[in-house]
Amino acid sequence: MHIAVLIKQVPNPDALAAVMSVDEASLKVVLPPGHPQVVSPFDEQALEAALRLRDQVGAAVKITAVTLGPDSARTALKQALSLGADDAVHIHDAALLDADSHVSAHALAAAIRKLGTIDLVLAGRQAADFDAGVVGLGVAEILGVPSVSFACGIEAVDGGVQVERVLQDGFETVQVPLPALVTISNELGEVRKPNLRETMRAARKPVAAWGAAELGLEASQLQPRSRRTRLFIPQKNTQCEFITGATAFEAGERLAQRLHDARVLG
Amino acid sequence: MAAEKNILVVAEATLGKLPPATYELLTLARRLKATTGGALGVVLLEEGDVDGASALAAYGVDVVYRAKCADFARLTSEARLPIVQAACEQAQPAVVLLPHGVLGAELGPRLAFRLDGGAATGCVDVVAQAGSIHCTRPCYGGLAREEQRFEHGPVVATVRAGLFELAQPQPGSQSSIVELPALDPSELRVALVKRESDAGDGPRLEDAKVIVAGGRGLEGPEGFKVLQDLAAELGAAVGSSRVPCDLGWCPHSWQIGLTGKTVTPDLYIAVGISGAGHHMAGCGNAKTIVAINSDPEAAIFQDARFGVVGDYREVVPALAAQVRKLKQA
Repeated sequence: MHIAVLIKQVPNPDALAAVMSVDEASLKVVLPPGHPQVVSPFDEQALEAALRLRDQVGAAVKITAVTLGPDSARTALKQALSLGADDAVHIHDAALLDADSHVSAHALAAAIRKLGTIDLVLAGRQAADFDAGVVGLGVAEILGVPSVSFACGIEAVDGGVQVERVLQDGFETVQVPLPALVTISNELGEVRKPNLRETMRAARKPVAAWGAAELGLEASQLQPRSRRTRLFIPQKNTQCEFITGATAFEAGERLAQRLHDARVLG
Repeated sequence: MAAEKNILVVAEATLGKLPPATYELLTLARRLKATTGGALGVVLLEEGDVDGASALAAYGVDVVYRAKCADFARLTSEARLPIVQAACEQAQPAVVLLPHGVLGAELGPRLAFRLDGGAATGCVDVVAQAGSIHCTRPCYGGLAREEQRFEHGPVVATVRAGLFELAQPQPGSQSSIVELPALDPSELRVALVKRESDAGDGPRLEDAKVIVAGGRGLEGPEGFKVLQDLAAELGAAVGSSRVPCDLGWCPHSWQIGLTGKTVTPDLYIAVGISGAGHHMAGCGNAKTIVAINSDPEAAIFQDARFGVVGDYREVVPALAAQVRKLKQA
């Protein structure tokens, strides 16, 4: 079984609130120097899902990590290799740096085709920067394979995979034949950490770098469907009224009275 | 290009009844239609023996594209794709609107690529302007917002709940009904094995007027017992930020936030929730937010109308007891 895991490098989403600003002219997020770039957490879970499949099925599972991004994205692939991915592909082309989801999906789908027979594509449910959740499903549509989204568990079964997925009010289990694409949600749980031996091995594993021409992308596939016209941080204008008391208990009682007086208790 | 002015809403009727999200989308769709001057269509999935289509006529819907299907609620989103695609081929929409839920979040992007159009997910606004479509959506865990312009349609937009008023009937409106071909189950590749609900009793989070929600600051699962006592006094639903769900303190279906539910109650009482953008993306549109947190610097106080700094183990039971007294008075 050959699994391709789609990963994206994003600014570390933890503690972003305190440090993030936006340059509304260039439509870019501005972060302090040294703010770490990481593998998007949902994509880490997608890689974890691939590694769990290998734990279940055995060494016959080959895992290729694929990313689209600037020079720095190579670090994300190195992390995937140090966690146990066998191969890595870096789609790297100045023409693709500001790709929208349409162009990104076509580039990733072309890379997957170029890899040969891929049985399963795994991706995070969304990237932790623009939170769209479009590219993975777009890849499935371009490749013409079925998709299952919001997976919290996956295992190999006869003829395909069985996927547990998250619903708004519960869970469902589905089976899908391969090839297929599955997007992974945070409910998958803890991901493993790189160990020293794999990190040393990863340093020696090659990273293939492919450009738009090598992927055979056509002009129409490089034509974005959307353009970002504005990026901004919404203003908050709520003034908090603090309710106090001699004790926390008294503050709680006063809060009830205040909410009652403000007619918000219904 | 008259055909590219049309607006299409994707809806599902259960026992002939449409969910509130459909009426919210109809409000947005009617606004878009007023700008583009096109026709308003609805793709309606409904059970075989009930009629939800005729009710839509009263809401300014020009064409209902109806697919009858027994037990469609058990179908995966893959099954819905050819139905909505068939409707799009007839309706030639500039914009397709879906609710941003588990279903829409998968169906929307796939449909966009199948139609060779654009996708915008989790939108808070969609506007037609000067021949292009503009979508506004939260990003960076709700910390920022982006506006995207689409010049080549169709644009498939999934829209967050609770942002638009429910559409009201329009006198004198009429709609025609187009029957879509029945689904061929043999084409389906994703097979449902089983489905289980972990929703509890009491009001659903999406429908609740009052929500009491807990976060990491509860410091353990027993904190939710304290919240449930308050919720019982208020007739409220209980929710959670992401951390308690990840830690198994409460069912995962309680999660409110960017990767959970979007809720729009009148009153939202956030207990031990720091107020990260990820969480606020799911509850920031509550009418009144009340924050109870032991950390006076917690970001949640910037979004809250009322706040108490203190230990929730004392504040919340006192609040519950006083609410009971006020109800009895």
